[in-house]
Amino acid sequence: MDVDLIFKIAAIGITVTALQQLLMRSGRDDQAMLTTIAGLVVVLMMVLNEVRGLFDTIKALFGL
Amino acid sequence: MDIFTAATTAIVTSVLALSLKNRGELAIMISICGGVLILLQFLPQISEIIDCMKAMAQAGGMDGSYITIILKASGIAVLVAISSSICKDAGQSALAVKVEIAGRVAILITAMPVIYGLFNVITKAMR
Repeated sequence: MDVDLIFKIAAIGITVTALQQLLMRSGRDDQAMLTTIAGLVVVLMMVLNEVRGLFDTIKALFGL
Repeated sequence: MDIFTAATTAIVTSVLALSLKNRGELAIMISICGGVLILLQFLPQISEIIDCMKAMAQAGGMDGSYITIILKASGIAVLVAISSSICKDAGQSALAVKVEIAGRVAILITAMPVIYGLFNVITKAMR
């Protein structure tokens, strides 16, 4: 849980964008859309994990 | 993590989010992630500040329950500020306003005992 996570997400984002462009150029639009959605879901799970950790820390810290 | 790492993380995150501007959803996720990382590194230091303030308030003779209420209200304010700023960055300022309203209601509910105590003091003084 450090700065590497940001680079991982950026790398996933660039990869998904490149794959989407590739699949769209070769005509498989539906697979391009699926790849985009899959990449989005993966990144969302990673970010939500971090956000959950943050909110748990805030809850413990402020006694909410 | 010290303040230099936090500042550098913020700069790197903003540049990376800018480079993914045509994929707006990934840009906002990168900025959320960077913000969460910076906060997670600084929250333990906030805990020391809170302990100091608790000790000072108790030495000053303030009631323990009031300190808890103030602390909870600060926590709600921090949470709502984080959440509403993320909403605004994603372009959803209406959602940000609703989150802020929810935060005001939550703080009001948390501070009800204080308001009640003040009300009692005032009515007692008026009799």
